Amino acid sequence: MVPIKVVLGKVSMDGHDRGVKVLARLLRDSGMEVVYLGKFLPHEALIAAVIQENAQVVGLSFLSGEHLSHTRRFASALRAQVLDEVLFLVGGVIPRQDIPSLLAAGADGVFLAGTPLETMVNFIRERVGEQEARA
Amino acid sequence: MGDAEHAGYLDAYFEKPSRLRTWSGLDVKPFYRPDDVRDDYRERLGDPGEFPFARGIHRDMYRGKFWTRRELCGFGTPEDTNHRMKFLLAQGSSGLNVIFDIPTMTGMDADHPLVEEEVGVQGTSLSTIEDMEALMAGLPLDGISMSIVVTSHAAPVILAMYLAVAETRGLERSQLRGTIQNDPLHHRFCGYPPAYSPLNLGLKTGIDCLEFCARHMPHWYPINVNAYDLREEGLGAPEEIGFSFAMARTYIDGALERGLAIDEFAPRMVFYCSAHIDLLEEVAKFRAMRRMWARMLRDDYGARDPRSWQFKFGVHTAGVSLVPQQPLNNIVRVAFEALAAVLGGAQSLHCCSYDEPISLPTETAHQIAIRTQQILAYETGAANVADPLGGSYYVESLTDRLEAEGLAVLKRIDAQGGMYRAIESGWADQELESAAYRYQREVEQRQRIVVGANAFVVPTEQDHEVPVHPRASTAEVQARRERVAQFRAQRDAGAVRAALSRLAEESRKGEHHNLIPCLIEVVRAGATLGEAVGVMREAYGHAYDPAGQLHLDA
Repeated sequence: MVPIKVVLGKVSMDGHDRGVKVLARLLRDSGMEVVYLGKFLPHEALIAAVIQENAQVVGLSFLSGEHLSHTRRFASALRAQVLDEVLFLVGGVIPRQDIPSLLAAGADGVFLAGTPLETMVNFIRERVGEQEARA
Repeated sequence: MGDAEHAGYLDAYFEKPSRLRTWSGLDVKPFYRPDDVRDDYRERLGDPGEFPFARGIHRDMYRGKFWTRRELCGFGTPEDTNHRMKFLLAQGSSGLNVIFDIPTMTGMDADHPLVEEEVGVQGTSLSTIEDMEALMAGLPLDGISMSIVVTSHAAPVILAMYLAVAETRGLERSQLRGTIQNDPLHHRFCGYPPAYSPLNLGLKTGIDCLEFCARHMPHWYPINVNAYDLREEGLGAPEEIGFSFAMARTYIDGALERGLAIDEFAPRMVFYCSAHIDLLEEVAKFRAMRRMWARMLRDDYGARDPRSWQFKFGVHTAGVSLVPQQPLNNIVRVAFEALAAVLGGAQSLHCCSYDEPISLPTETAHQIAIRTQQILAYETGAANVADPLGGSYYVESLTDRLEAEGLAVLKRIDAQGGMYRAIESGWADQELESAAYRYQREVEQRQRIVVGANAFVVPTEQDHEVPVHPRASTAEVQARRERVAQFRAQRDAGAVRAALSRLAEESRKGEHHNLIPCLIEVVRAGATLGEAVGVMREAYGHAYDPAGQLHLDA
């Protein structure tokens, strides 16, 4: 079976990268192929990597309150590149109250700090599986 | 009752602890005895206020003065933060602790084209001397203890603005009381990519602050070695000790090389430590750090002034120990961690607000954090006796163990060529990343139990929802950006140009030439933070603008 390919990164000016780096290693442990691009990234750099790597999943990590505007902007840029089938995930320190807005802005899933890895892995496998079944 | 449910109750009744080690991973015995502790009271401990200060730096400890109760604060405009600081003082805070947003921290002004989404988000936005006036409006700068959290390459400019505002009010530098974080090495591995945190410039201006404050500001602490962020990145208690001491040694060596005498500045060096969730391990850690510092300063650096031997530290309870699941439980976690700080003899304390893993603190969350400190101070009796756990077989044995482990970490860093080299080579990052990975794997495998997150979980929809600190609206951010742009448009452009070219000239006079007197003139002339930092960046071989968008109009 070909492993699921995930691109992770941080687009805002937020140095809190412990979580996303650990997540990258844990997703790798669970059999996925993960590219972590770093922090302080321009949105375009991440989207280019998604295209280049032919990734099925892209994840952004936010810990400092700037998730709403970045998610909105990133989702429209991603979908503008006709990357409709790419699963777009957002995670980090995010108030629960913001989950509906993030989903409305174009995120496919939102994971708060403290979410067990298993929950994320299952979500990714299920949704990527559905995509592939449709394809 | 179903059979399964019945079995669950029985299991709970007979359940035993499964993790027989400290939170940092040190193995512990079922109990400790007198022969677990070396019996040389004078050499190992001494009374509080006596070398090696393991039991505290003051003989009377909190009978002489409570620890400073200060809560970290910073968001939105300088006015927003000023308003919250006044609220905190009204609630009984005994000091202030202000933090800036990332553009400010990295030396980018609020009207920079790329920072729109970051203005006032992670801290308060500050770009001009007018902003500093607004931030400090109505606060008695001669009476209040002001802690300022900022990176080392922005620190001299922020300090210059603070001094300029104080001078306008007719205050002497010597009257100002406070701390500036100014910890160049830590900023590099706790947050910023190299372009945004020039290590060589940070170290140079860091020492500038240290030198200037040591000579002119007797009540100011010009370096606050940030052990806390290292711990937050995933390190354990021994590494918190080893890494932070290795950073401190870099700064001491830099100051000595600048020509300062050890006793001229060592009494003004302070540390900012974590208090994590393992109460007794944290108390032992603080005791070990005090003893190690005293010995290092006396024996390795030849300090003669007893104040140089005294390890002074503030505590930030561990944000990373808090989880958004069942968030009110965080109040309990913070209380245990705050107790560790007080039993460990901290000089100042920031209690995390319970909503730390959710958003910036609401006013209520901030208030509970202060009340936690006040309950500790006024109700528990923990402040009455210095080092109340001294003599506990376990705590004494753990203190010795943490000292030995901390020294071993220090040795490993020395083998890397010291902290500066350990960062440049990537070794330090690797250590942090591996530690964070191991920690989280233990959480995922439930070798570490985090209540509400991987045990005793409730479904999200049934979880307690707490109010969230409101973020600034787009219109408010725009207004903030426009105000800085307006300040820029209205100032005397010729005076700014002249001041900045003088700064450029002075920046090229070599590392040992202190830039702070010049920076005070530069900010008075109306130069912004971004311009002053940009000019210094260029002199130290970096682009004027870390994002590569702006150039100085000369």
